[in-house]
Amino acid sequence: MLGNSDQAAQTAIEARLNEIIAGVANQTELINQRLTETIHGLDNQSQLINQRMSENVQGLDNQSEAFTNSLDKLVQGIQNQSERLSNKLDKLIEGQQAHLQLVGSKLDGLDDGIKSQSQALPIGNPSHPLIEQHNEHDAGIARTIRAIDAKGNPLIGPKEVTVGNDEFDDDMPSSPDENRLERFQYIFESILAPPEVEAPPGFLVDFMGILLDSRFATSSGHDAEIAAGGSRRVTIPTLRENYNADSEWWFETVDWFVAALEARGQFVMVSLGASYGAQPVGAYKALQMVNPLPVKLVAVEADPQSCNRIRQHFRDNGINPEDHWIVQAAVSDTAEPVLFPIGASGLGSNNCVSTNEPKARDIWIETIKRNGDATSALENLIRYGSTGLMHNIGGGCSGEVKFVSAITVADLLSPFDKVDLLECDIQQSEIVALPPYLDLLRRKVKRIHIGTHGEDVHRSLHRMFAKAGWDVVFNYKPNATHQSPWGRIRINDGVLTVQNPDFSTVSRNRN
Amino acid sequence: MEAPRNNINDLEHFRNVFEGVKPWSGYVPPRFIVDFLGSLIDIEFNSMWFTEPGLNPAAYNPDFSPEKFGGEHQETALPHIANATAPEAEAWFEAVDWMVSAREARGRYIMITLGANYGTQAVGAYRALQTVNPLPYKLVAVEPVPGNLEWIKRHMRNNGIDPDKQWIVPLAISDKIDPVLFPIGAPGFGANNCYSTNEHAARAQYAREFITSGTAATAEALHNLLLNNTTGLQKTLLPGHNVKAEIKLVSSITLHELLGPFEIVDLLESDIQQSEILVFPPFIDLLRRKVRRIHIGTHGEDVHVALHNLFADSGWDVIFSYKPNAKHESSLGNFETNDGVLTVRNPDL
Repeated sequence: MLGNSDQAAQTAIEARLNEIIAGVANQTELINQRLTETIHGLDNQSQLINQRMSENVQGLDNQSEAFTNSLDKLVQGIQNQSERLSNKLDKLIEGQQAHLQLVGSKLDGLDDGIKSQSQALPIGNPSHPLIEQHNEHDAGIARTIRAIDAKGNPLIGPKEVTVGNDEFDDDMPSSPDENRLERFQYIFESILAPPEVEAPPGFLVDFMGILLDSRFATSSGHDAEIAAGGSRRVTIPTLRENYNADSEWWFETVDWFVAALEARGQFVMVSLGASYGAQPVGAYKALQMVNPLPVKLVAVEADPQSCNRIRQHFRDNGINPEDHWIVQAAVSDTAEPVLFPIGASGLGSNNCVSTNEPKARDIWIETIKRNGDATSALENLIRYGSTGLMHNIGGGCSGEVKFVSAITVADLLSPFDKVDLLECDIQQSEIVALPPYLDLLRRKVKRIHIGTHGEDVHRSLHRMFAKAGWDVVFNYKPNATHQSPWGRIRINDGVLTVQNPDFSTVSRNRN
Repeated sequence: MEAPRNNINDLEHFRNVFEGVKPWSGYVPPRFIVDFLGSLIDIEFNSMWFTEPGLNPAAYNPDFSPEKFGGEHQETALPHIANATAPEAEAWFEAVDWMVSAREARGRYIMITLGANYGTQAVGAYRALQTVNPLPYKLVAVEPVPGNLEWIKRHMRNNGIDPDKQWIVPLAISDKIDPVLFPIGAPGFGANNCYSTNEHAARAQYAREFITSGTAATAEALHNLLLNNTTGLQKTLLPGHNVKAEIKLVSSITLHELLGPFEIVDLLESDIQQSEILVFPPFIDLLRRKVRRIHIGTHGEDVHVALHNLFADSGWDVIFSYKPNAKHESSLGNFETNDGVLTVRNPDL
């Protein structure tokens, strides 16, 4: 039982509890209201976001549609162009087939003629004192015969002549784009050569900024201006009105740029008979200008002094020679050591065709016997690898005929999966060094630029590459004047540039 | 995997180097033998050791017939070092270096073998790579004996390698790129070298011999050299045995040219019968920039010590250094060596 005072207290507590409960109920209601408002707000925001998203999606759809339309137009344009190109190609192929038929019938006629001539005068007929059989290549190249003098000695210089059992018309283009120089009219346009370039004292400079120690230049003049250094006006190579200038440079430069532009991933350039390294440095600079990629330069040169010059020329042009491959060896068809004239660095005329061929070797023996110094010659050969004899290289210079190590194209290409540009200026040895490796070249090399020496050598190599399916880009015989779209051009070394169709950037059906 | 720097000959570290490698087993074609990695070896490449009395008394067999080899299922065993004979021990060290270099390779594996003979080392390294870390690869085999060059190509083809995609270098390895007088012949023998035929003293001696023999001998030698790149002299590669070679002028190559095309070489193996003392020293800096691991079969204690010191003084980690023609003790067991074993690792790569 509770007392009165207790009851009053209980009543007061109950009243207070009711107040608290009522307050909590109010607060709950308030919270509910707030929550409802918040949810409402969120709904609104959500609705707003949805609206915005719908608008965005709509915008994207519109853009996508616009893109699709543009793409459709583009594809349509490409299809049109492709169709036009295809038509042109068909016409070209048609023309080429007709052309080939014409060539074929001419060849048949010539073949018959040659057969009848061959019967009259067999190749290598010992009764003919000026011609003897020299070599027979298996790679489909015609037999090469060597001109010799009345005593049976080889005539030094570009004297080889070649005859074939299936005559090839060298005056007719072997590829649709052969000698179409206008294709390269604008190749240097991407190069904004400053009209003047700064040259340090003692250096020449060209439009690519390549520095050349004037001591390496055979005809620089070595004047006071070069010695002093300073600003030089430079010009972009051109064939226009270039009759008396050195046109070979234009072709070399075009090949640097085309090879550089077409390179992917890594650029590999091989220079055979590199002299002081003009070609690899030129190719390197072209690459830096139009398509900077990781690069490996390969320079092959038998003369040790020239190898030192290559290293210096590399360094003068910001190339670390240690990052590249400089091979001090002669390029030959086999790895057998060759007799090579060492000396006259920089002249660039050293070669072993006139010192290493069997007939030339006979001459060394005869010379030694005639001089009566067999004992000292043998001692020189065994102890120092030298004949002790000097050989006239040309230009008033001579070199000591020594045994040097040889390297083949196979050895040079083997380390690489692909070579972008192979440049070759080996003073007629090109006819010895390249033919045995035609298949390997086709597997690995995208573009070849050969400075040819002797019309017969030029013709043999031209027909070899053409018959093997290479695209002939430039074909200009040595020591001749030729017609270009911009006038007459004078060529000393011949120019033969071939492109490997297997690496062509434009796929096409060659049949 | 590798022993810490300067911890030379810590074989304990390599106790489990072949872990995970299942010794090859299977059918071996007639006339072939096989190793633990499945490298098939044409018995013709080794026939000299069976047929030439005294070359290897343990192998000599007057009834040798290639038909007695292969043509059956075979089980192989992992290489071992405990109580190993000299050939077994050398093979163990070579196989360890194949394994380690293959495991450490990244991107592409480049292996160079100097004095490749018929290509054992190149093919072995390739098989190891395929077993533990298959990567694109380039094998470089340097060998001037024409018979061996043909065998290298055959050996590669027999083991699934396209020789046309490798670099088989038909040249002698030397310190300079001048042609060398090299004994050409006896393919498979593997002991041809120009150390004793090309040095100044040897060349002077050959010249003297011809000249003192008279005018006719001098004229003939001159003729031989100028027309055929040969002295015409025959050399016995192993005194008392019918293993002969002709001393010819051969083009050479140096480490500078061999390493030139590559940025990194994973394994450089050398077994060039003492020429190692000429070939390596001039290029010690270049090696440091490009080569991860070098395995040299050394010939002569003085040569071994000189090369060991050269590499150690140049900051290389010497992993294995066992002198030639000696008995050795290790935590994995005792073994013998004929060729010495010198393996060094480049701390920069």
